[in-house]
Formats: sequence, C-alpha cells, structure tokens
Amino acid sequence: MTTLSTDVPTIDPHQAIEELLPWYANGALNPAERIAVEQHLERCSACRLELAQCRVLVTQFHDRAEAAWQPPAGHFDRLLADIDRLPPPVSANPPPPLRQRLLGWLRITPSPVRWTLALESLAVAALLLIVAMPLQRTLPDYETLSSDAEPTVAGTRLRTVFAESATIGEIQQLLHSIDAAIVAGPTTLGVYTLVVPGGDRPAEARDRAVAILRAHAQQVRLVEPLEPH
Amino acid sequence: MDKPTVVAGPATAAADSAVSDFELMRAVASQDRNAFKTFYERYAPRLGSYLLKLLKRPERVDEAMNDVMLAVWQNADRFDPAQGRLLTWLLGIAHHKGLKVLRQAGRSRAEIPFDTLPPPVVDEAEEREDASQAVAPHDPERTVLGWELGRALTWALDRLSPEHRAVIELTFGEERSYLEIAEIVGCPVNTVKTRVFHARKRLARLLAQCGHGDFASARE
Repeated sequence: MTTLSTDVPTIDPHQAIEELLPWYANGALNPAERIAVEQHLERCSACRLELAQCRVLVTQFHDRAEAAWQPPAGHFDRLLADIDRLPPPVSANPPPPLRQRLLGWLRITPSPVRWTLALESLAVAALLLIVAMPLQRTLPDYETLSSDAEPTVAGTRLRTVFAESATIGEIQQLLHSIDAAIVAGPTTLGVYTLVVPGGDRPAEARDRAVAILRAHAQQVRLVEPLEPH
Repeated sequence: MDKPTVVAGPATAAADSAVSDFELMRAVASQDRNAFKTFYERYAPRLGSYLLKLLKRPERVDEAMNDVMLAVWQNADRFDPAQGRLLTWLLGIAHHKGLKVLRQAGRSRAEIPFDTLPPPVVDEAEEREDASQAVAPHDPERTVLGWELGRALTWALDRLSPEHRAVIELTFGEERSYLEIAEIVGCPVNTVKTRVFHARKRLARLLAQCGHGDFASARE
C-alpha cells in the first residue's frame, strides 16, 4: 500500500477561521465564509473571545469622533497651479515604435551581419518548430494523479460543504445519486465545487440535485448553486 | 460621504450629485477642470479623513492629498469600474501616497516621546465598575468603559507601524472587506489576513498596558 506524504505545510483550520473574525465582526464575509465561521464558533471558546474583542473594536471605531480633514484655504487653487506646472504628458512625444527602432538599427548594420542574423533567426525558428511539433502529437489524453490541469466539465456548479461526520462512502453515494462530480475544493473553509450535468434541462437537474443534497442534512451542511460565469 | 458640497449654488450641486463616478472620471480624464473640482469636493474629505488616521498630522495630509489629486488628474483614464469601486481605487492611491510622505518625513518611533503614555486607567475603571454594579469582569464587550477604551485605543493606534495601523483602520474604521484591503494596500489576500491578525495582537498588547487586559487574553 502506498501512503501519500507531502512537505507542504497544512493550513490550520482554526487559524484560518480566526483570521476571518475581523470581517465576520464588520459584516464583510460572503455567506459561505459566514456559515463556516458560525459553525466553528459553536465549538471554539477562544474564537468566541476573539470575536467579542473584534466587535468591541468595530463599536469603538464606529462611535469615535471621526477625524475630519478640512482642505486648507486655497488648497484647490494651489493644486491647479501644480497641475499647470506638470510636464506635458509623455504621449506628446512618444518614442518611436519598436518596429521603427529595429528598422533604423538594421539600416546602420553592415549587410553581411544582417544576412547572418537573418539566417540564424531562421535556423532558431526551424529548431523551435521541430521541437514543438512532436510534443503536440504526444500530448497525453489521460489524467494522472499528479496532473494539475482541472478537467473541464459542463453543467451547473454547486457550492457544497459536507458535514465533518460524512464518510467518503456516503459522499460518493450522494454524488452518484445526482450524477455529480467534484471539480474543485476543498477550500480552506471546506467548500467543494460540484458540477451537475444538466443535459437539455439544466435548471431541472440543478433543482433536483439541490433538493437531494439538502434532504441529506446529516451529510451536507451547505449547498447553493453558483452563478453561471 | 459621497454627497458633494459645491459652492456654486443648489442647481449646480444637484447636477453634480447626479453625475456618476464613472462619468466624472471620464471627464477628469479628458482634463475637464470643472469635473476635477466636483471630484475634489466629492472625495477629498473622505480621503483626507483616511490620510489623517494614517499620517496623524494635518500638514502631512495636505502634502499627501496634493500627491493623490495630481495622481488622479494624471491617471483618471486608468480607473476601470469593472475592476472595483472608485473609492477602493482612490484609497489605494491615498494609501501609497500617504506611506510615501511618511517615509520622506522619516517618521520613527523615536519621534514619539515615551511620556505620552496615558495614565493608568485601572482605578477609574474600578470606580465605574463599583458605581454601575453591572459590569461583568471578563466580558470585554462590557468591562471596557467607552471613553477610557477610546482614549487608550487612540494611543495604541499611534504606536502601531503605519502598515499595521492602515489595515486596522481599513478593517474596523472603513469596514472594508479583505479583498478590498488587498487591492488598497497592494498585497495578497493572505498577507492582509495575517497582517490584520498580527496588528490585532500588537494592539491587544498595547491596550493591556493601558489597563485593558481583556484584549491580551487571546491566543497569540
């Protein structure tokens, strides 16, 4: 049996949530993040304390006398005077385009050097062509575990958070039941992106998948359709 | 905040307020000085307020504001509403011009006299606790006393590095999302989250020095 190991440090889920608390307190998280934070808060007293402190800061900043800056007298007029002193825009005297500069340079280059450069350029181009062509033909049409390209799957996308208690078998069964595939995730907040092939009736397939997933509340904590790109 | 204050009269004011940010920036990009004045009156107070929190001294704000406005005049055509809100774009310019002014001024910790530490507030806090009889000792939302914590917070914010002060102001003062802050300060989202995390820890230690120890009780 092969065991997978990695040198990549894993992200501490507790710290990931703790770092979101300031924006939970100021109401600037998206719904999925908000739900993840709320689930974590239910079982983490340290984060509840942190959140209380963040809320005190939000209140303090909100209630404090706002530092007001008033433009000093004549500020805008001085600004206009500064604008008048600005050098003319660079585009008024643009440098010659690259093609012109190259042609100018070639004009002052001796003829033998020009021919040598041209032949060398042709040889390099031919070499690149030879190297590139076989690669195109032998590109694999299969994926390996180490492939980092994400497969393209057409269909409706669903943002889903599975319960921590859900087993792999249960998740696989659920995915089979709605004919869905995981195409991304989990994010640091445990969010997976599923794709449900819709065929001729994508809305119907999406609604059916959402209904089935929501009916399995023991295994699925959150499911919501993603807006089409 | 977005309501313009135009001196030219009510009719002009109404017309100016009807101009969208996008139209205004297009006019500024075409070097329309009237549009630039409308833009200045609409946004300078808000940007000045942020710069004052960052720079602390009005004369530095004047200087930074000049740089911000010149940058807007020269680069208005680069504003792309598809990339984000105008205020976020402007705060990004203000942030970088503000830090530049700070660097030029050579602001250092040594500039802040150590004796500006506020007097301990523990006794006063205890007095108030006794008087109100309603304050739970370990609940930071209730133990802190408004103006005392407010004063301590002002003092503590002054002691943060400009980078830490900026992200704290943007998070709690301007109530920006971490995505907007990343755009404003020009760094990755994860850096913003980590920076705010460490800035809060530093702020908590400073507040603890002022008698608000509840803020330092969290995990480091």
